[in-house]
Amino acid sequence: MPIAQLLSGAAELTANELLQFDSDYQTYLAPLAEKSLAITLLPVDLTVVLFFTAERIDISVPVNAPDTKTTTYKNDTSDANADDIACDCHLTLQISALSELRDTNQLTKLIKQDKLDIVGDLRVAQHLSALINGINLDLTEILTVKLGDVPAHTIMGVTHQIQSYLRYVHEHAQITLGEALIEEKKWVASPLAIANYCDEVTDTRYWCDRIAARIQRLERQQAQATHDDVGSEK
Amino acid sequence: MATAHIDNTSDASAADTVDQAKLSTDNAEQAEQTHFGFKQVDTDKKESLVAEVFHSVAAKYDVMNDVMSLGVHRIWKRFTIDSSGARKGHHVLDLAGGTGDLTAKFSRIVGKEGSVTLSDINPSMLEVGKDKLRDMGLVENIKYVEANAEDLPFPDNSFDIVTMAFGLRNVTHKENALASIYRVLKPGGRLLVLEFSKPTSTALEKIYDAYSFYLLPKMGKLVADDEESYRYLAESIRMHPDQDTLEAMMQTAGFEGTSYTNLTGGIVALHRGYKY
Repeated sequence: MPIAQLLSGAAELTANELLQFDSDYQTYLAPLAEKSLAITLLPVDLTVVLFFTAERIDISVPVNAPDTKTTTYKNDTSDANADDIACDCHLTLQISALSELRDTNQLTKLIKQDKLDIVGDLRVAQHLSALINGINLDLTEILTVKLGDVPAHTIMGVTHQIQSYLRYVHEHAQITLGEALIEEKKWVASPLAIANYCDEVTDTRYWCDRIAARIQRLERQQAQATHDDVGSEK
Repeated sequence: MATAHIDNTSDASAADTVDQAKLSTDNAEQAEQTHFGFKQVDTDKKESLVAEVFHSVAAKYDVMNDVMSLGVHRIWKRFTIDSSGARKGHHVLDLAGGTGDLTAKFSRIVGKEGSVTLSDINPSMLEVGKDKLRDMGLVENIKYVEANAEDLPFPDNSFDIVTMAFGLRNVTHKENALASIYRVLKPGGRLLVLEFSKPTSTALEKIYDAYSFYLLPKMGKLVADDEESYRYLAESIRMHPDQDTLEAMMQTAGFEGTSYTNLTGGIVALHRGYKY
């Protein structure tokens, strides 16, 4: 089973379903119509190509080489494979920078940091960013359309309760774990102990600096006294 | 369903039947006969018999594809498109394209500058495909051509990509079809043949045999009220050349850089070849 195609199919279905929930989606898609954008994610070297029409987005994961068996190649097909990704705009970026891509103001910064490389028409990337930022998705509304008012509000209420509970558990677990490590097991120093240690280090450095300065002063004085003695003998 | 000259295969095991059918195909070549599933028929009759099958299943074709493959045929077709290297401005021939699954996606990829030609020998399938694509709002860059893959009515060097998904096994003279495709491909163009093939594992093959010879015809009866057509489907798959044989046939037709990828344990294989 080609997993990449399964996932891209699911992503395509989800993306197009979600687009339908914003009545203005065609406004955002219009500038992208007939355009294509390839995104290569590093370091996994995975390329995804988005083809836009005025109505929808098609997602493709190019398959460049057979993965099971290759027979005699009378000619080198590497050029044909490399040619497979020919888009209006090709972004190559680090996965870690993916979330920052939504803000078009970050593009220059990412390029300078070598986290992003853009080949082709930059406007395609900007229009995609505008689409992602502009689409207004209200989860309650989506569920209401799909399930009806009561189930939607019940689900959202339960979801919020679960979120609150998980947040409480997370915070409580952090406190409990911290106390266990610091107070009971003594594996980690407490913040107060670390602060005291830092203060002591600062004091020690201060006194060391003072001693060093005093030694330097004494050395200078000694040198001066030696110089004066030599002068009086002459 | 027409009968013609038939071997009685009802009591034989699937594997034995395939061997017998292939053997009798070899003998039959001298008498200008060919296989139609496990049956032997006059070569000039196969085309009309296949046409009958597809006339019969056209209306329920998409539903049956989803039921039979549990929707996996969509993933196989997506893999084919992803392997095609299609892009804006390309001219694509979707041969034996049936109800236009590949055509729909190619149409959006190649855009207004490109074109997709949906071709099928069967007018019923073509009509279903035309209706479906129009309902999807895809009209601008799609042409519909009723054509025999063995004698394509297109000028030489016309297409950047030719795809044939689940169609080649129904062609009477496969070598003629491959030669015809080679002729209409542009230099640098590629052929993609998605077709049922031979499972790579013996265990999977046994399960697959049980499914296709016993369950599949019953599903055909239940969903499409057509048991015979789906029995033909299972038989025609077994009579189709295996992965290596088909690849050799493509090389004989002139294709270079040929390769294949087994999908779902070899139940289906995608063959690729280039024209230089």
